[in-house]
Amino acid sequence: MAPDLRTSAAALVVTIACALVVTVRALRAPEPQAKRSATAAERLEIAASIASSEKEWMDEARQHFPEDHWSQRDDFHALELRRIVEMVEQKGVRVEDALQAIDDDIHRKGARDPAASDERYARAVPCKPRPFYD
Amino acid sequence: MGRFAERTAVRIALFALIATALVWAMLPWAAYTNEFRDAQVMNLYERAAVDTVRRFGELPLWNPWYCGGLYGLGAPQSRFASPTFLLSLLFGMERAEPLVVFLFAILGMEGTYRWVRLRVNDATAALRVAPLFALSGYFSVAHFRGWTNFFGFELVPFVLYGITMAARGRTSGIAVASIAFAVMLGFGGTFAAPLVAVAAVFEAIRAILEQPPRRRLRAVVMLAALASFMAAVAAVRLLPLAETLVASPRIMAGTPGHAPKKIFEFLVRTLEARDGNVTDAGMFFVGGGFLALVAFGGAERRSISALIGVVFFLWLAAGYSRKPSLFAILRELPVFSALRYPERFLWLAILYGCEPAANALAKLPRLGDGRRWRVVTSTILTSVIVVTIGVQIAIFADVGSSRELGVVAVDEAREFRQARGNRWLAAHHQGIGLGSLSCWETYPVIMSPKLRGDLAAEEYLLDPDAGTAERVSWSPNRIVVRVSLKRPTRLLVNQNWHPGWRSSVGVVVDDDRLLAVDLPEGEHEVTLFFRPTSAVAGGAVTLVALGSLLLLAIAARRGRVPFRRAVALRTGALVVAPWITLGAFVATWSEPRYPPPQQRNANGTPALVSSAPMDARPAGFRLDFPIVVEAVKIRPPDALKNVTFDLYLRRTGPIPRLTGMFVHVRRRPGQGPLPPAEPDKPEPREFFNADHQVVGGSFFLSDAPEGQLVHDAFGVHVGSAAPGEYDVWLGFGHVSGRKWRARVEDSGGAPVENELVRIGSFVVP
Repeated sequence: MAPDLRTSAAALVVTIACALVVTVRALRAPEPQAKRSATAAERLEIAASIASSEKEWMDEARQHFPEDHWSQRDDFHALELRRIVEMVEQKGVRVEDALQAIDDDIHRKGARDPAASDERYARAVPCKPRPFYD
Repeated sequence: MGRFAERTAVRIALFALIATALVWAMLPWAAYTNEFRDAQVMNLYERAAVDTVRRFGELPLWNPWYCGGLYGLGAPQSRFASPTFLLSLLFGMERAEPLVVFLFAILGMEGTYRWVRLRVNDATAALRVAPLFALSGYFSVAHFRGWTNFFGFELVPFVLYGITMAARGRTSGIAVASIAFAVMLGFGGTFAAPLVAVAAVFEAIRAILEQPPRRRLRAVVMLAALASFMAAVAAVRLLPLAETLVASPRIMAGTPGHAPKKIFEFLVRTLEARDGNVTDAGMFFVGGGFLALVAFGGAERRSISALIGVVFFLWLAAGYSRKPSLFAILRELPVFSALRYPERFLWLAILYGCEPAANALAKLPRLGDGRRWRVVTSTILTSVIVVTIGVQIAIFADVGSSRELGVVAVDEAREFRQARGNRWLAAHHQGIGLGSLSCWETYPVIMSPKLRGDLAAEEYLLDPDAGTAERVSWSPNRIVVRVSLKRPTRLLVNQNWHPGWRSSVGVVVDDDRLLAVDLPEGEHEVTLFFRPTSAVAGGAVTLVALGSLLLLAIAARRGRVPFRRAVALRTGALVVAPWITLGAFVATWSEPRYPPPQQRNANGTPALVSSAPMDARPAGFRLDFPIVVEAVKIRPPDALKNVTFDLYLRRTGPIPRLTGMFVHVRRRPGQGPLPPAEPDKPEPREFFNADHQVVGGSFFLSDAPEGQLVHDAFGVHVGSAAPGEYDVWLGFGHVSGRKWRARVEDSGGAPVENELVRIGSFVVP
């Protein structure tokens, strides 16, 4: 059956009104309150806290996923996430500042080539999802 | 009422009101980002695409911010290749999201109405059931987890509507199905295409059988044209997707399944958010009232084909728990082998259930006599529907309010560089110009092990003494580097290689999957740019297909029936035109192909080898099964209390896909009782299981090249093991461990228990 394309003015008004209300409300939704930027000292503290725990996290991840490098690294990052969230919430600072601080710290030495030593687990471990998760 | 229901504008108004109610609770939080782990990746894809267009004025073909760089158009979960991307561009990803949900919900309701109406005489009945599919529980799950691309599934009814219309000889059906499918595919979702393919085949068979015998050939021809246009219109997305998934196929093992009780709970229990996720129960909520209507309407003769659909998709949704398992049969097909969650077929069961439910709504008031009966029955039935819709909307709001929300701070001033990253916070890295090498995806993304998140410079020379390299400009699809060389060398870029990268100078090379250019000596301004042939060819095929569809539609409006003798040649030419275009590209395709996937174990060692190492112990047992275990190496617990295994075996004949390898680590009996648990420590264990079906996460045992020596490396953590001597037992059989086991014909003197052979021992101190 072919659709009846006769329009009702009232129906059109309702549709447009709905679309407008949704659009306007979405656009006028309040901006989230931005957290403050971390101070230089806080950045150093966050970076140091992460750096000091990395070895322990990697050992833990190796125990969770023996012989599975990608899963180990993924688990390592899950543990890192927990610490980052804990610290940024405790200090009330932006998560991006923590990420930047960690990255700056990791980049501080500045490796020159792929074969350089990798104490900070900065070398990529190619993505190899487990064949099932549950 | 019926004539109102038939007016498109009235229906859309009603659906818009319902969709407004659906997204209402989302709106105050429209500026926030969903922080759920999967949402990080989905949001990163969309934000990266918006950034690439807005900041750099480029098409979002390459996404350098994730996994060391990946083909954006070929990433199954990216959603920018659909018209809704305009909303993200205009309003930003976050604020566009409720608008996208609003639009797709309306389309889902309208599509369901139109599709149901094709076979249900009562327009008001079709109108009343239409929202139930479009608001069903899994869309709340998608909203909670940030799987916005799953809302593309709202277009399935339009695909099915188009199929039936085409089978009835209507050209518009071809256009509707093709465009709906292309939008759905462009909007992402690993599951959309295979699920739609199953539904499309079912609907096509049903639509053909509904035609009188003399019209069936025409229906088949029309549906063949439709299938061709569906693929051709979606080519801009389909070709890049195919390129990605052929180069790095997704491996999915296991035998997932659901008992009838669980399926019932999926459908009728209320979905809840708990412990940072949503519950299984209620994932596909449509309510008990809907199921009662389906049962009642299904008893009618006219609902039989739809009811067969319901049963068919319920059967698939049961996965491996039903014998025989339709899901298992489906997974034998190439594209479907990666299907993971059988319950997602409930979506289609619900959709097909809408038809008998509508028939029940139409019939029940007519069962009794008198106007009073009709009014009371209609009111009660409508109330059941309205209450169900109300509950669905409430669930959507309730679950949505439990989302973890945050904000992504953006710093556009920072130059791009790769970072170690963290995929659990991937979207936040992208906001400050960092690429996350920490990578999770549903398929094994091809990544270079040479990528680093700590390099002094992102572009550097293989031979640092050969000269200098300095970045001049950077954008996602175009990198300019000034290079001064005393002698020829290789310029390395800290991103993944892809066949679509080209260079203005020198030759682009794949350096262990790292993007690199071999350069001659001298002063060069090297411009690297990304222009993959699959995107160009796919775009051209899509454009030609859309043009052909337009011409077909114009002819149809002039009253020409496609494939009637007088116009058959012209119609045929329009169908073939996109494929001729593709043929021209294929004939001139000069781009290199990805090399075959490297078969490696999860610890990075090769999974296919020529011989076992000298220190591996020969295994001397024989099975009544075409697998020969040649050697075994077991390393006792290390400092982290991990035991590692290296097995060397050959497949000497065909074996079923569901063949599993059983590896049991068991404390030898007679060593005294287990010690009591220490405070704050796990219970001491004496059994560990390392069963698996896939070698190193790379290939099924059944797919191991016949005769080739396979190296299977894996490990077990025995930190909680009670002290004592442990034996390692090995066997093969059906992966479930229940159906069958390969019989041990000759154990070579080793002990055998339950068709498992003892292959070694170690001591836990």
